[in-house]
Amino acid sequence: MIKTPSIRRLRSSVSITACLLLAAGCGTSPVVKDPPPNEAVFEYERVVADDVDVKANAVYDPWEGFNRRMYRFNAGADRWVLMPMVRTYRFIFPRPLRRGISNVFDTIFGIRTFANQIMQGRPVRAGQTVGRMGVNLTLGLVGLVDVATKLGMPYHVEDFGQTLGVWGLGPGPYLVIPLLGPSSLRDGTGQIVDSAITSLAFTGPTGIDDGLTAQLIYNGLLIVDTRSRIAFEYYQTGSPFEYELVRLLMNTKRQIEIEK
Amino acid sequence: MRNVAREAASVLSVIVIALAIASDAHAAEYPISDPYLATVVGTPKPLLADVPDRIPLRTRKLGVYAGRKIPKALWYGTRLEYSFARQKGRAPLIFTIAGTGAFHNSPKNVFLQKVFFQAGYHVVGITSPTHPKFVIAASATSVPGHQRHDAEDIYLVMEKIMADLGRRVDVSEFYLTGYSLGATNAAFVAQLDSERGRFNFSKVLLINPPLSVYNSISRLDRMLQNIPGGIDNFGSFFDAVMRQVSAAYKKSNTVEFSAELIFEAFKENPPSDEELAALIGLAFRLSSAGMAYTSDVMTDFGFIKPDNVRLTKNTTMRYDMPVAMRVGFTDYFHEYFWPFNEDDAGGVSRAEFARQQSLWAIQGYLIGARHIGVMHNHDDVILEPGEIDFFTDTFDNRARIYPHGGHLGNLETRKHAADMVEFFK
Repeated sequence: MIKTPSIRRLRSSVSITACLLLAAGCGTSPVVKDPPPNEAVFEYERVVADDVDVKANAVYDPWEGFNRRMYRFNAGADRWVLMPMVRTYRFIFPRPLRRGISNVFDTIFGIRTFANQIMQGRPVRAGQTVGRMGVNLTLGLVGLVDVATKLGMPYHVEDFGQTLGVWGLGPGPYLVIPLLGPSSLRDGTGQIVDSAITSLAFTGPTGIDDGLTAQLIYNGLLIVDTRSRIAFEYYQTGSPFEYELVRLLMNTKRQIEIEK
Repeated sequence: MRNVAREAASVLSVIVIALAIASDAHAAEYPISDPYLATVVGTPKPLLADVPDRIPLRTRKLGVYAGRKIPKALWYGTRLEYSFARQKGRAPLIFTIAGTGAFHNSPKNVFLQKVFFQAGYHVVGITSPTHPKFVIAASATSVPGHQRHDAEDIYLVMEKIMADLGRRVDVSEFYLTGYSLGATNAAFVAQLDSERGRFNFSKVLLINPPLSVYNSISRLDRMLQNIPGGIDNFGSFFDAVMRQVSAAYKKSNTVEFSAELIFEAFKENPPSDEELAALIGLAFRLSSAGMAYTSDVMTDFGFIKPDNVRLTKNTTMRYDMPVAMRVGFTDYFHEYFWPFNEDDAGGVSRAEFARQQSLWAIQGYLIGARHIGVMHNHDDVILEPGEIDFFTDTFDNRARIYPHGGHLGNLETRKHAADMVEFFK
């Protein structure tokens, strides 16, 4: 975990802003009835050795209050909006067609991967990505069939968050983004850049018209396709530590993706 | 350097597994003779049973106790999920009880459901009484581990499920099975049913049950002592594990913080036996931490959370999670479970109380219960040396003991699946 000085300075002011934005406040303390608190059988001091710095081991999460609320909000949105959409999608579209749609999106996101590979200074991989897109757009019928994988062509996924990571920027504060889920300040910012890259490619050189209907269809399909490919189910672990576990997993996952 | 070592280890492990499979290619027996490796790696692909990719499993939610007061922080557990898939027309119905800390749809429970659905039964997956959601919604005391109480809880859940399914299923007879702790649960549920008679199970199959729950949890706690550098290095070991888990997570597109996900992570890079043992211990520790802490919040016992502290929906676990991860099953037993139950235990000693949570307590019943069988492994790592004899002594020709497989490593082999189906015929 690298924290650049600039991020370090940024963090306190952003954290205050985040809390101000949410009038509900960002408290994460428990409520003590009839203080002073009683002793539990296994007190923190008794169990955790003095020289163990739990905070240092954990993911940097100064906006935990906001993030925990957002995690819960996202779980609700997932249950009441996203998953019903996914179920409808699965009901209407047969499996092979859904597979095709996933392949089309993978091909489209080749643009994003390519751009980031260039920015990361990885021309060989960028070439592989172009080759892959070329094969799938032609032999693969506009991306519907993933011929490239069958031909054994390497597959990469890169985004701007990873590019920033490759450039040496740490993740910064953990951030649960509304509707999109667990991320970090770096990767959340990266997503904005990535979507700009993709939409630029559409409106710019390709000249594909993106009228409102087209955009709605594109984004609607993208949302259900993305969600239907993730097996994660909120609160399935039942663990009171699910927030912490997901945070740790996401942080580690991003580290691994950047190192890859 | 580390990368080279890791590469070497992974190549080596592939060779070991390949050799093991090659040497036993025609025996159709489970090939991995190291019980720790078997437990972690599971069944090698070529030996996997042919089960359908998917079966029409539906998830439904049950309100078990109407109007139960549930602490705010545990709001997500007010109702308990179960899964079922039904056959067209009349068929036997089999309940499958998940293992320690596992949800009704854990990979192993789903495997059982696939096997038995394929065999023509309605299947119903039951969440383990040690899963936090069961503790919140369906445990009468919210303090799991008491075998009789847990059986009563499961029994009530089963009755509620049948009421919930209503006319959706046409049941000819009832079967029951479970793996790991779920198998011990199944034995106690079967015994309870012999008193109450709601289901009259025609057949009950116990798959790799612990004999003494106390002995097995002690073993699992001890396994964590294998962490390189001792328990103080828990943090860095945990980080290293999570990195591998995370890598597996990335590949599999799933997030389930169960034993299975961790095992998945190490299929490719099996470490030393000590590290494997530490891993098995860690997987169970993740379960016990969630279980014990949830129970503590439900009862306000003051085990980890002081009893006059109330959690909000947003309370940070920054301080309680490290404690929960350092407190073991045996700590739970001695410092919470036993004090909680002592007054109602009828004056028995702590040791006797521990024995009541073992299959010894119902051995007489099990000897006479001709409809109950067991499948186990001679080298199961959750059993103390010699404990395996209990199963042959008690179940006689109704026990099938495999030479290798560790704890459930051979569960998904063709042979094991075929034997499971055969048992119910």
